[in-house]
Amino acid sequence: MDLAAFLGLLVVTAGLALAIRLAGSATDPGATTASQSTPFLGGFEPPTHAWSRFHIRYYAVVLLFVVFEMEMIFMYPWAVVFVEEGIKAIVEMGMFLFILALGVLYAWREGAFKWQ
Amino acid sequence: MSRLSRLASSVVPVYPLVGAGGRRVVEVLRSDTRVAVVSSPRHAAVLFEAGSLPPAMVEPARRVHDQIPYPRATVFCPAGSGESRLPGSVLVEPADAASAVLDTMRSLMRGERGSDPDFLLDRPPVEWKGVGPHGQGGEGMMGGKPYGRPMAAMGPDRDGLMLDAVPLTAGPFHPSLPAGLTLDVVMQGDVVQEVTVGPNPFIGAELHGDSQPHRSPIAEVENVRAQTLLRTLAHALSAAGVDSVAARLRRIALNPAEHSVRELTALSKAVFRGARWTAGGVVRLEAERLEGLGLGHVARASGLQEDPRNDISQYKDLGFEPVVRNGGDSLDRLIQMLAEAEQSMLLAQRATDESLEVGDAIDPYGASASIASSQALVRLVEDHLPGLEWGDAVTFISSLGIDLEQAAVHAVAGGRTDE
Repeated sequence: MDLAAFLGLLVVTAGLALAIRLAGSATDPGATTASQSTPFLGGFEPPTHAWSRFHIRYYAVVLLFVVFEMEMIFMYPWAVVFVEEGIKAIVEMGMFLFILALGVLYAWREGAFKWQ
Repeated sequence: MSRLSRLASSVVPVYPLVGAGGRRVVEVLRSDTRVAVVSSPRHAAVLFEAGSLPPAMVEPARRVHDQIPYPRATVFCPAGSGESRLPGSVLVEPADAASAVLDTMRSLMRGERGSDPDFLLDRPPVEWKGVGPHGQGGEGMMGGKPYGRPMAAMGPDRDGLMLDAVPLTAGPFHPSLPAGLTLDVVMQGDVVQEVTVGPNPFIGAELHGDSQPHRSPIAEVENVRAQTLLRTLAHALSAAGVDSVAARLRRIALNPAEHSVRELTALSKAVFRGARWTAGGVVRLEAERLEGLGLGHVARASGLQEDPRNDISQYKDLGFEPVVRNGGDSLDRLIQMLAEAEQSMLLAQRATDESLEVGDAIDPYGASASIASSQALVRLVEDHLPGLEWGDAVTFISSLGIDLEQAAVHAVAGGRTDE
């Protein structure tokens, strides 16, 4: 029964995709010319392609994210055992988090969160 | 006519080409519900030429015409004495432009009228060929010129990176820029690196407008001023994406004398909310740098009390006080436009038969259309655009209220043609 349901789903999905494709072809106004394929800028032609790279200006935030992701990794095994270990474990993790928090505050002050 | 064609021609998508005197015609067209003025020729079926095309705008107009998908038609609506238009366009009268556009669209859909042929050749600008015998190889990333266009050359960006610098020209018919404004920009990513403002295409055209001093009643002058301000504000809000508020402002702008000031005040919160996130904090202009340049609402939004109406007794009798805001960013300029439009409507209602001489000092099209301020506005654009993202750049330009046609009218009257 599972196989039949799967095959049925496959047929419906493929049929829908095909139907949409045919509907697009039926309402196709025709071949596009060079002008119609050119980006619209308001009346002039672009002199070069627009396949350009963008500067990822929020990269500082990404680096901070990676740092805290690693911190999270450290916290996973700690989370399993800290209840048994008691106050000592909490204080140790607290010191670790505090040091990283200082790093975030420094980045904030240096404008890492303002990338406009 | 098939059902699909009838559905397609129920509301006609129209792309406007604003020529000399065409702004007013397009505004009236927008108010008709049978016509949808779209912001890209890709979405349009009919190209609406409003006003005569200045010589510098003919070639861009032909390119925009060719960018409209088939089937397409062109319609020309005169707005003055000039008759320069694209060949093959249907001549319509301003009074029934919308009906004529609808009829043209229906005849296009029925097949009675063939689609307009292309003006430009269907050919890429440059041969797609590399160096080798099979077209391969050459300098640059991909070798040769893919699809007939070279790849962008690289240029230094911040953080010591070399990024692609894309040069482009945002042309005279850009939907978010003032009519006729041409910007040659070099972009890296979405940041403008360099900008040059092109020459004013309306200089040398057959212009519609009168810059000679003549007597006009204050009510008429202030109504025209309110209309201009509201339309400029609506254009800026459309560029910001707030089309609903822009449509409401345009409805009032059709004839401000028929609306109460309270209607406009009721829209102020909507205008503020609509523009706050796009225009807030964008390009704060200092008052000291704007003094004496005659920049109208731009100066008053930065705290300067400059207004030529200060020195006119008839205005003082009506209780005129210049409206001034502190702040000077794009949002302040937009709110300033709204506040001045309210003030103009109020003055128009209070004025009786008071006539006054209209000339360079009291220009109903906003003081920022005079020649001195037009050059200063262009300098502001060239000084402040580099370093802005494209969205902020468009917001800033639309907050300045540049009107190149009026600037050309004043330039010609002043005997200057080097705008």
